[in-house]
Amino acid sequence: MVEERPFGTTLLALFQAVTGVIELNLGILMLTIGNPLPTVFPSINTYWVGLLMIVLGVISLFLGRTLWAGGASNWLLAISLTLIDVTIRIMLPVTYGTSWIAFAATLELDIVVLYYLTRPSTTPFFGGDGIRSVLSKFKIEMEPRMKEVRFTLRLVRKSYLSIVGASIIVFYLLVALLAPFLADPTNSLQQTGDPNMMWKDIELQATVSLEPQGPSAAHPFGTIQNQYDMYYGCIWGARSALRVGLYVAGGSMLIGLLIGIFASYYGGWIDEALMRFTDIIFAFPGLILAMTLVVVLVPMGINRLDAVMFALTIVGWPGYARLIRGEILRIKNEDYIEAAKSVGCSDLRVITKHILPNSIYPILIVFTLDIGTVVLGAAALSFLGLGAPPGYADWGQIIAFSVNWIYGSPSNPFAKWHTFVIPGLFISLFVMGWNLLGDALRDILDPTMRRK
Amino acid sequence: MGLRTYILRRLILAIPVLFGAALFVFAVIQFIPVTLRATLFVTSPQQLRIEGGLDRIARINGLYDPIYVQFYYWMRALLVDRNLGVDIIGQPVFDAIMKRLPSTVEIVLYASPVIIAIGLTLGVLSGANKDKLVDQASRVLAIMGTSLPSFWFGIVLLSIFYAGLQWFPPQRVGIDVTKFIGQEGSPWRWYTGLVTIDSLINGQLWIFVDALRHLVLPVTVLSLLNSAVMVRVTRSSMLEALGKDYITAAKAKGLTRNEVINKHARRNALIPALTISGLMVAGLMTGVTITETVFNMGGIGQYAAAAAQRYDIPPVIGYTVLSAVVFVISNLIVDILYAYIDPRIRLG
Amino acid sequence: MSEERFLRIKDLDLRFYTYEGVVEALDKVNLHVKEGETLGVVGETGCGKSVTGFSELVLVPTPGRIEGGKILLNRKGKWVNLLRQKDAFLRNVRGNEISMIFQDPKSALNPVYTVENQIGEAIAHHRMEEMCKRIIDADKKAQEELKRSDLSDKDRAKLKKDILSKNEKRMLERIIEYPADTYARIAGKIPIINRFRKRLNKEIRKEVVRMLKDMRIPDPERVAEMYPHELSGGMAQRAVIAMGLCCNPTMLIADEPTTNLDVTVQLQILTLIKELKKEYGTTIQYITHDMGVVAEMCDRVAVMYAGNVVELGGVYEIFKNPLHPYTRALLECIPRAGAEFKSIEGFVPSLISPPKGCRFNDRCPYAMEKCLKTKPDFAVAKEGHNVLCHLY
Repeated sequence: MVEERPFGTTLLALFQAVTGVIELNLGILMLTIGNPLPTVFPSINTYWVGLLMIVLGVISLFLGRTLWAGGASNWLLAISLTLIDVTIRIMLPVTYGTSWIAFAATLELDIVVLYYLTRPSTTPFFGGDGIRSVLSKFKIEMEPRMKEVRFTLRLVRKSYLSIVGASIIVFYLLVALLAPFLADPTNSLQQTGDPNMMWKDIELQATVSLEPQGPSAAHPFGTIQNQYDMYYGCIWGARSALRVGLYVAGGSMLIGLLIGIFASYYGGWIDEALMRFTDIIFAFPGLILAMTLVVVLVPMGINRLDAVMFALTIVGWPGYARLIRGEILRIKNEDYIEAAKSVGCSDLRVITKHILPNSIYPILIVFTLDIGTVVLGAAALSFLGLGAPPGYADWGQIIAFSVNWIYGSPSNPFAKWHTFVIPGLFISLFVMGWNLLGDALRDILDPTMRRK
Repeated sequence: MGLRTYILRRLILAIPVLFGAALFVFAVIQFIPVTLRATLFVTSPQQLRIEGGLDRIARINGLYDPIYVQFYYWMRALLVDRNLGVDIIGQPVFDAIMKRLPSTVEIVLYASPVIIAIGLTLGVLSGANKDKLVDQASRVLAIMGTSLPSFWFGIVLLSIFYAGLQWFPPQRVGIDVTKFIGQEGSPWRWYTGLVTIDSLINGQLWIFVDALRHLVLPVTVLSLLNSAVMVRVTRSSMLEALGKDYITAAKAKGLTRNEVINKHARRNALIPALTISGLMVAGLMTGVTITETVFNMGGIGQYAAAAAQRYDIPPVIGYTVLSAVVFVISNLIVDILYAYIDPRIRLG
Repeated sequence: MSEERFLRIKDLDLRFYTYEGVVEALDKVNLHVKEGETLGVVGETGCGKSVTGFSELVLVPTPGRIEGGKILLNRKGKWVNLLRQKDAFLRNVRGNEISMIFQDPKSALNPVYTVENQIGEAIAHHRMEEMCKRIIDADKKAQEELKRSDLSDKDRAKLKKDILSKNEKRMLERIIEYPADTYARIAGKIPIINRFRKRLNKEIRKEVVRMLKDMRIPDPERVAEMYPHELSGGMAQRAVIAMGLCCNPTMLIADEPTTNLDVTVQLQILTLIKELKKEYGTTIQYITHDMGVVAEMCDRVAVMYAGNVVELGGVYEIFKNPLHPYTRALLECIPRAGAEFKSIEGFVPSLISPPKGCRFNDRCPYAMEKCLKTKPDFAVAKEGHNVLCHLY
């Protein structure tokens, strides 16, 4: 039933492969020596864009291979990969200000791929008698999974703790997304050109003093020293927190997963060596290692916040590596893996189809809890003076400022309570939301306790 | 396998990890540009004026040597000479750390039993009474514990209990005590370096009380995060134990619910919880860094944090290496304890 | 073996409340066990035989609830409904009058306690009084013996060991009077005062070793000190059986005790159980899926299918003259050398929405109109032989 590969698909596969290789190399270049194409990538954050380029390159290569191979399951894989690809390509210009033009070309390539995948002439190659039958086969295959997901969601709804957690997270997401509308950045842009820096009320500086002022009409949360507006700091701090949390947790998860899967797939001395390496990093308490890394990286010229994120990622990945490796080893020994292997599944297929879907739950849980941990860690580093630069809209940074005022004035010890209570509440609530969700998920997804 | 063989094996396995940790730190140091590292060896402005400048200083101190040579010298300095370099004011890091160590040990000494007691009891209760009030309350408390930034919690506590109520002051001891100890011809003798114990040995009860008062807040903050983790782990291992067949068998023997929980479930549940206490040491070390800074306790954590703020590298490196060593050793001890308690491992 | 009924289960309903729905695990189950006999409960996996065993001890695992019926226990002539009893009463029954042994011996034993500890626990719980009395009697005897003048020094020393101090005696008597005394319990933990406890433990240990020896375990003293993971499957199961029989229960519920063992060990255990039954005279309820074991071990058998007892009667009777279609099919399906391999068509119905009427109706070769609509009664086809079928 599987036909010859249509010529169009061959072309697309080759194109994707070539694009993939180019992007991969660009990404690697960017990470090592800096921006190789300033016209395409004006004033960008080379670290993150480089990483994303590598990701894009890998996806394109995979996409090329999938298009080359054909088959019903690959058809779905190709569509998913293309969609992810599109998302990232749109995201890059939006968040990092890379030039639209360069990505527009490859974006078009993706759209052509999608078009091709849906054409009737390609469907025989991908197996099946048409898209509808493939879709219905897909539905049948996924039905038990969907049932489990529905069951999970039902349990989530029943557990009020997870509802509370999820609502808190949604709240912060909204605050972060709507930050420019909730707290006008014009003043900041005027003063420093970076909307992430808090703005100073210069009038108040001149008229009153540099001391923090309590909540007032102009400053709903009051000001901290040098008359930075704390309301602005707290609102935009949500952005900073989400950015740090998601990037670091996501980054360390990706790295950890890759290394863990790599190690357990190959086994033998590769596994041993990688695990020793993981142990070594584990031997250092997280924050202390992060501290050391930041202290070493910043004098080399790396931006402080980037150094913090990098350091926390390095500290975080061993956890994920160990986790996925433990899961893979556990599942590897189960009987159904032997059964799968005995009917001829290749190792990679065994890993993706059998092991990963079953081991994804603990990883998900650790991810949600990790975001909270990362944000707390970044806040602690900011508090110690190693994180965000002074004046940056970061909750930890604001609290660092407030250390001088915890004793208030001799007459009223609580005079400056707002300087530390408010940002602290912001952080605590944020982390609590993620912790509640992760905790509830942990109880919900634990297979031994699910059906009680 | 026998307990002794097991211990020996764990010991032997720990050494490469320590070695690797040292190697890792060394590798991180290598990232610092040579010129910057050379400045660490500069103790006076005259040195810079000698011809060759920083370059020469770098060469003298072997910074241009091949890496393995540098590593050899570094390790030798570390292990044999106990030379961790000098900090920004010229004080040898090793001495500075030793001077401040008792302060840190004191806090950890008081915090650990609190953490273990709260963590285990609450965890067992929680697991045994799943979803009832005790469980829900302790889960919420545990979550709050892991959500609060420890430095913030410390600040809030200081604001309330010190600025507001004047009950528990920061720092190790009050001014009176410092004057008493430091005065000419003082009857005070240092024995262990821990104020609480030494004050009892010296017979100065008022100093003992004062030191305790100063310890309340830091110990509270340190216990907060760590006991929350312990409660959580104990709870889940308790729940796991309660689901096992031997619990049904015990019930079928006619044992009371208390006996079943306390005797059968608990011991099995405590085993995984114990392994976490090894990791908890890591948590303590991190916690100590922040807590000491907030409360100005003068311990090694504060020293390292202050150094980091100034981008003064030697103390930070020294602290990091020390933390790794402590962590590996404590995990080793936990592994041995684990083998002792769980007969499955002890008897192979 | 008497005709006296020991345990009766009447119209027992058990439901499991799960997310997927309410599982009607047991539907008006009726059976009775006669004193001194071995009743086999046989059926496929999921038919409810294990859960019936658990219900008899009122130990149903959590999402399950007993919804109706009675479980009647014959205590010296009086019938008591176990489902209406308080927890304290039930705890006295469990392990003491009705005991249970399990399928996987290694997981039925707590891995962090020795065998001696776990068997001794049951003895301590139910036979404490007896143990105390033994020590006191030994003391009395020793005191009597010491009055004799013709004892060697060695004998004298040995007897002196049995003499109790006043405090010890007081403690033991206190325990006899107040079995759950906290004072005694705490005193048992304090190092110097707890000599009475040490004596008790020694006595209990003697009893444990005796039990293990009865189980035909070689070198019982050494085995008693072992941990469960050090034992082989067969040894572990013997230890579990010892645990079940140590308080001399009137009835033992054996939940597939040989299923997880090798075939050779299976034979050993079955032989052991038969011998023990002769020695102790215990009533046994043997739950299994193996018809061969039923033929070997049991006097009467209850056949279960999808939560119902479909046939109940003497072993010979049922094997010779199976009445219920399911029983007939089961017996036909026993693999015979040289014959073709047979199986029953169809699948066990889902117990979440069980079929109306007789639950076997979709697979029964004799199904009638009536079978699809009404549930049959547990009719008496012959003396001592009941069937749940419309044919009778």
